[in-house]
Amino acid sequence: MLALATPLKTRLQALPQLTGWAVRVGTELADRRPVPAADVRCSGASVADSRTGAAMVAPEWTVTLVVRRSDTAADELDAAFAAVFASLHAWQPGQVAGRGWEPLTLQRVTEPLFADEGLAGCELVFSTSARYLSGNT
Amino acid sequence: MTLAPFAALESRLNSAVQRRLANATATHQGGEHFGVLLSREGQQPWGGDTVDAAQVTLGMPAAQVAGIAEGGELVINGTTTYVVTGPVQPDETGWLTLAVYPKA
Repeated sequence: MLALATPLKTRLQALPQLTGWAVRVGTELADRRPVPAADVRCSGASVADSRTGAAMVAPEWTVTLVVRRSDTAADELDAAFAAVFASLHAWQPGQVAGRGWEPLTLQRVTEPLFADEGLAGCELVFSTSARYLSGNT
Repeated sequence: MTLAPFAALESRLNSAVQRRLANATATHQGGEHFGVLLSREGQQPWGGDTVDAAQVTLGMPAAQVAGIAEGGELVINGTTTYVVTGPVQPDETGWLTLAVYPKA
């Protein structure tokens, strides 16, 4: 499930709209001070179908976009939001670590946060799913 | 004798705190320098170690920044301009603590 972090990061890093952005995943050790930034992390999973010997696991991947508060912050976030959506919504990771993943779909967007620390941002939550087999019947 | 002796003491105390504990200077709208209590600590506004940010606050008697509002600016130590974010509400003694962030 967490193996999707690297392909997601790679895909976002390739976006021209995120040139100059720090793109990082939740599981790596990184300097998390630079902004603008796009943080990618798994924020849990639901199990859509769990039966003897198999389960359909649907992880959620949250992309947090953060920029400095300024007169142009809303436009920067808007452009990044559109680029991330276009890149990830309906994108199929395919085989990752030996498991076939369904296309990602955007599930929700959080209320933009304007933090006292001089930052502004919002989160896009995507979901995908794959079948896990246990080997026990 | 004043009718509000404790208010006078509070005002004197605020002045003393500013005079003795100020660790930075500020100017507002190009006025005179005055002492401020600058506090800085790490914060993670989105939680979960998403972003490593600094929360900076400035404390001072409200009378020294009369008319300041969210979006207003203070120059600290003559070098860095900070922008006011959040509420601008002094406490009952007239002491004002402002959340600020460095202007890009």
